[in-house]
Amino acid sequence: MTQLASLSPAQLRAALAGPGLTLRTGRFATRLHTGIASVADSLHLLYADYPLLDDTAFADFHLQLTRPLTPRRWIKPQVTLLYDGRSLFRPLPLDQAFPMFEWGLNWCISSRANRYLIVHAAVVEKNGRAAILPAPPGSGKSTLCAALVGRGGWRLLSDELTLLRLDDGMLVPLPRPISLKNGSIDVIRAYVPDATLSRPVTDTTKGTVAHMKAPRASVARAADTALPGWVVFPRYEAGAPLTAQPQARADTFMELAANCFNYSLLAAEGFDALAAVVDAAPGWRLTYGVLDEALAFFDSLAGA
Amino acid sequence: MVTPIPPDPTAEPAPMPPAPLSQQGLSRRRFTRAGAVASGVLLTLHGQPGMAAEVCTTASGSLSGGLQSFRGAKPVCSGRSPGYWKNSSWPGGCDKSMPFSRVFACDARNYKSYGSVSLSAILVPKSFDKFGIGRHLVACWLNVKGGLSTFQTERQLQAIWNEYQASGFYTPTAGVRWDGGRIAEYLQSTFD
Repeated sequence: MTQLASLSPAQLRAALAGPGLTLRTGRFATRLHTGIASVADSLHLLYADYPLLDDTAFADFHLQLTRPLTPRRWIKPQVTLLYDGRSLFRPLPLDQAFPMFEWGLNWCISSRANRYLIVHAAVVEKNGRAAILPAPPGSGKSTLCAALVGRGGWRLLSDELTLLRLDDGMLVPLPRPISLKNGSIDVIRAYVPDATLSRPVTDTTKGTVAHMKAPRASVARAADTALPGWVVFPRYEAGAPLTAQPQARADTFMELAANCFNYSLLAAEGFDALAAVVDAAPGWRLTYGVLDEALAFFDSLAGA
Repeated sequence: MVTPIPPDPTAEPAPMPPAPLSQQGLSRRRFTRAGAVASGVLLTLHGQPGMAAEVCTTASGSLSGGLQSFRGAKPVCSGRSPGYWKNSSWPGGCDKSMPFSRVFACDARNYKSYGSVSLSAILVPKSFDKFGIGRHLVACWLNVKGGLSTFQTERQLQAIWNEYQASGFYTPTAGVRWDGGRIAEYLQSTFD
């Protein structure tokens, strides 16, 4: 199995601009074409450890990032994402091409991979059991996820998309770069000094965005599923002491369901899958102000 | 932990033993017994599109990053509360002295209460305005008029009022009935 790292940056650019490449991330293979150098360079930085499939392999998603040939390309260059050759989204400033690839791949999985129950949540594993961290934007979920995998010795399954297999209730990994926004970029730079981060991109609708490379060990174990162990609803509050409250299962169920992409679509199957998670994984409500304390709490859960 | 329910000695013996539950049925029963209250709420998880909880806090809404679909703009979810509108200027074309009943038609029962006040007067809590429904409806109406809540419409708010006034309930989707308290909770959930 070839890894992306086997290509030099120049070879990667040439391959993406020419025939395209098929990249495997967990259960999904993505065929990507793009002549945009910043996308190739960010892929080289963050996806070095991922397998490349040969050109005849089946790809779940076909994506292209192109520059629309409008007169504005001289003044305000833009980038367009094509899914199966069709443009579904408005163009973005060219500077946002790599984040657009990441967002586009998230969109592909969250709107197409309906053989799984998909929860908008980070998920990390230690000693065989996984902590699911659903949270609204701005609650510090990705920061905590980056700290847990960058420094706490947890394995990254995903920072955004928790995939639950319907037939056996196992969590399916999707290790990809962790999306960090605004203040959390510098927090993680300081907290995980050896982390590899992509160049921050400013002025997106989410503010400034940077991506942190997934740990190599997590990428290598992309085929190893994990049992749901805990559901933790984190909330960062500056200067707050750590509080962890056990949460009633009915509340955990409702909040998980509200964070699902396809709960309604899967109907009874979705209900049964979530009920099994809630039966197996106690819910916690966590408020933290210091990452060290939060990591200690997670280790106490895992019995580490 | 789920505690088993002891058999009721006064109950009549069942004529036939029930068929054993499948594994799925068992998990459903286990969970619903643990959260009987919540199971009634499950129905409201996917109300009609246009509910704030659906539109403004969907998983897909918070995930999509900077992608913007060609299919219409993203919804605006920055509604203001009655308290805000009490002290702030109103969107163009909205008259503070306009009677409440001009927007939310009042029947004979409400003629002397809701029917006798202006849109701005109702923003101050009134004893007849149970659950603050009038107050919250006016705030929502101003949010719609000012473009602060693009997922609601004037007609939708009027439909809530008309059904509530007539029956004491609102039916957001078939099989779900919201009482006054639940309606107020929904309206408040649309304030940022």
